[in-house]
Amino acid sequence: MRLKSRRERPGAIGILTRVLLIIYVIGLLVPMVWSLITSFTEVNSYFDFYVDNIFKDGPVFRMTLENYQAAEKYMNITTTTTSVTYNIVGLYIHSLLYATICAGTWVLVTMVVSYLVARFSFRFSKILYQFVLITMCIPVVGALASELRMLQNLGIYDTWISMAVLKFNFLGVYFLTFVAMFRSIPKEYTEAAKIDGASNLYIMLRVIFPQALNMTVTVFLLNFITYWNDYKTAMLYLPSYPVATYGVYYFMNTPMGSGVTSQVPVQVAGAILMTLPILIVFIVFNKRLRGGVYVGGIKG
Amino acid sequence: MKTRAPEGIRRHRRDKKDLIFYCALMALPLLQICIFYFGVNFQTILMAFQHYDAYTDTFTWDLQTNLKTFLTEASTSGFWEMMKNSFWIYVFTQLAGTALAILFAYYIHKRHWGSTFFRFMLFVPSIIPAILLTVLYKDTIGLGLPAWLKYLFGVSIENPFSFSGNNLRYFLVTLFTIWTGFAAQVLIYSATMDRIDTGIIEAGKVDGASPWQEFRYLILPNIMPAVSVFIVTGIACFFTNDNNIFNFLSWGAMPQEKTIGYYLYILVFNGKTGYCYSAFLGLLCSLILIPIVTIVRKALNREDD
Repeated sequence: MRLKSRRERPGAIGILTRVLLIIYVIGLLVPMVWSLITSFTEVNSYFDFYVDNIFKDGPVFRMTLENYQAAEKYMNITTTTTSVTYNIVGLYIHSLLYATICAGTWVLVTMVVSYLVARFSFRFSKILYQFVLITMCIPVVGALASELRMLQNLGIYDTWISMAVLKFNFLGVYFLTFVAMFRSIPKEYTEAAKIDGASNLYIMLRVIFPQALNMTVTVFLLNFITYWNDYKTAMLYLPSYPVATYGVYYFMNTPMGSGVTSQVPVQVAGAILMTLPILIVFIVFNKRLRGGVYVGGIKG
Repeated sequence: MKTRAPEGIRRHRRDKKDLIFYCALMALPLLQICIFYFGVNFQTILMAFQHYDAYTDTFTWDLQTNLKTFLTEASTSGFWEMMKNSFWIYVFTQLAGTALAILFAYYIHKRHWGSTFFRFMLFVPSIIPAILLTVLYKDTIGLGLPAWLKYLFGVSIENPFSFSGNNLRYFLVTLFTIWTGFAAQVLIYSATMDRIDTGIIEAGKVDGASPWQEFRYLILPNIMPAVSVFIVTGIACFFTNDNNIFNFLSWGAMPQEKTIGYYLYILVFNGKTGYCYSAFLGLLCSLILIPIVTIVRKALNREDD
């Protein structure tokens, strides 16, 4: 009711925007629906139409689940570094580990450091805050090679621990959001706990952090999704542990005519299968995730 | 009998405890920053003046090789095509993307028809992996569209993603980048608009402000800080974003389709032989961008004031 009372009649620009939005949504939905159909289309039926431009059974595609079965069966990746072959479950596990380690480490460290900066008024806290702001604005290009070399020199390249080490920092926009959040919690909570004899660690873990739980979960989920979707970094840093989205890239680039996985319906089915977990996360946590955008934005 | 220490001493002890706690928790993250921010960036500068010898697997000092490679590349049209592409993608993304984002955000903020649904749909490209969206678009536009055009109208067109003879493929990838790239901005702008004090808007209406005046003089100035963040961080990513070119074209991008971000990624992915030159090129790009970012930031800050 309250929302309805806020609604106004759109003017000419409003109507133009509505048209653009509808075009935008169609531009998103058509490929999704079309590819979903492709993923269920029997391979022969697909080729009848795409190659010979005919429908053998009238203007409909023959539907089947075989593409998903084939994708699950044949979409295996053998790494060039260790020659180990991973099936779809292996790729899921790698994605889960990669996203959890990266998002978990980063969120935890950012929380702790932003708590220290927000709640302890040392001069260093102010310097650190300014430092994070500066790093966000100063463009550093070409550091990728140096970072890889650093990991190689430390002897942890291509290991899971390297990802935890790399993400053991607090740089990024969410640091500012966490600082603002911790600053907004009244100092009385800390004072009262101190009078009761609580230690600094106890206050941080049991008094303040629980109040940031909602935001922490949201930021973790947003980062988790970002890392799950990011195959290019994983491809560089963890060549022995291919992730699920790398699987999508890998099979999308399979040359035509080189087996089951080169068939488009199987490729599309495989792509959907490999990103299914993140789609489920999105459906389950969609409201919480959209709320999270307000606190800091999303990385592409 | 135990006596209570004076207040001053107790505060001193507490401060000392605070300091120990602070230092203990801060130590490891700071060490990480020292190694992986300062150390890595310093090493990038060093690597820009080094050369990798594949036979001995060593990096040796060499002030000339990277410079020579750069000068050779800079004398070809391909290099300037990459620069031009990076520039135009940024301009289009900023101009078209930001304009559309503000327009859409205002529509959603006003709770016009379908705004909840549109808000949901705008969130989708941020969640679905870019590589999956690439598969969907390649399947639909690359394969589906030509097949249906031929079936329905007898018109034969090539799969635009397999045809590299003109700029169509690059245009489609750029369009895709803009199409899927600005959605996050919409959500942040609309959230920022929602936080504007309704009293200001009501006062504007009482004073007879038209919808356009409300947008221009009340809404826009309030979202400018958020817009500034996107513009500044966008410049910072000017030479690092590959803008979906790798997703769509993998290793097969033609010279006229590459961006600097794509090229740098490929250089590093090729192994250690590309490390030093990518560091050199990256250093040059950073030197170009730092003054630009500084000037733009200052200009935007002045605008905000």
